[in-house]
Amino acid sequence: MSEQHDELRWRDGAAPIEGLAQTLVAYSRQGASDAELARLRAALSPQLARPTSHAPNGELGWSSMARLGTWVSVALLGAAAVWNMIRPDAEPVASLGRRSPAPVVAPRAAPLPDVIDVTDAPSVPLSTAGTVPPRTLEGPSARKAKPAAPELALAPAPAAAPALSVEAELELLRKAQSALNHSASTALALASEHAQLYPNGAFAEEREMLRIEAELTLGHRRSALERAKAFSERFGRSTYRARIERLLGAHEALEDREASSADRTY
Amino acid sequence: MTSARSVDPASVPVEQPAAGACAAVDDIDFTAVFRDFGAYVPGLLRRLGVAEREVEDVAQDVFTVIHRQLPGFRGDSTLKTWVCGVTLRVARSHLRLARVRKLVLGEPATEPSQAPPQLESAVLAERVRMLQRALEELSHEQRRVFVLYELEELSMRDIARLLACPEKTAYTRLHAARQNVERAIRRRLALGGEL
Repeated sequence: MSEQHDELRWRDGAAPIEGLAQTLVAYSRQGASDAELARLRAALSPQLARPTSHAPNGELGWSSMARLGTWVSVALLGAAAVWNMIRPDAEPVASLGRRSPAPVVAPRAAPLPDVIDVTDAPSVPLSTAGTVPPRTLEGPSARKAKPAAPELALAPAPAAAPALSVEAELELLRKAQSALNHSASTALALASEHAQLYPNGAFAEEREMLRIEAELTLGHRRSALERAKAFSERFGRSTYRARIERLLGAHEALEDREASSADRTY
Repeated sequence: MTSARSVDPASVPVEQPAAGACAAVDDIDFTAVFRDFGAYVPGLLRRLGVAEREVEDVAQDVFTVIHRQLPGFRGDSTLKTWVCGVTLRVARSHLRLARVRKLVLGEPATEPSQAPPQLESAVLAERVRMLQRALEELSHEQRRVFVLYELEELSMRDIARLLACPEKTAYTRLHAARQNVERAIRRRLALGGEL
């Protein structure tokens, strides 16, 4: 592998300090532990089951899967919330949705949050007696669960909109989400409408995430950053924060690429 | 779709094949790549500076990209160089995220890497930790070159191609990195450490 004109490596005798060559060799040989490798293998089981990808560019990318994951999550949350409100033998609701089964393709292909704060769910009695049993946390998804966060982050629900308004709230958010695919400005307008109608709605987190994404799409980076900070302060334990970081990071990467496109050498 | 606004495996660019690349290498499948590099990639991610708590997730992203891009691997480099290239690009995206995290959310950009307890002696483990701390002091650019050259033993030509910079630039970074690593280690030795 080494080219003839390459300089002598430290590990091959050029190290300026005694013992450094041995240290370099030892460090270069460090890999995953057996347990780590087993978890990685489990997480990649869909790919290992399909070892040859013949459609490298035709598959759903992470972004689309993430959006699908968001939407599936929202839909499940909505369905669960509505069902728990209208079914005759309704039990108190807690920890909706985030303990749902793993995402569609791979455990982290569309990382869904593990716990939702339903702090503002309208007029639904809340308790820790959830109707959705907690998922057994295994593999990488389990690592995403923040240990410091309580299992259920519930707060007394303020007197708010009528119970079934969750359905209308969800419908409005669905429209906003759908609009994001073709018109970020429309998505932003719908999300703003949602914010006016349901400032503390059950899907306030999702709405704020959508607004950040729409603003980034529109190039309103400063506004998106401010909203991200506000989100962080308001939903400090939200696992959506990781996704927001990805969005902002990707936007920065895009700007980096654009800035350096003039002198790219590959 | 609303464009690539999330740093994710799908956003990682496909490595451009060199001029005169050979035909696609058909007999390498993902299972074989994972068998040969499953343990290697997490180690490389740590050496490149990915935070300990994120190594497994980032490794999963690396292999997701490998799975998607493997049909495009043309054998114009060794498989190890190609895997290193994918790992490098995914790691760079995640390290960029760490900067954003620090900027926006006020969280620490990185955390010290930890050597997995698999070294034969405590002395060697301590030496590795000293080396790790020296690497933490390098810029990302210097660290990449140092790691790829001194630890992964890639050729400088391959490194320059992976980093999309002239070979001379890569050498300049290597020399600067060597100076900084040596200085950092000597400083620690002077404070009573052992190597």
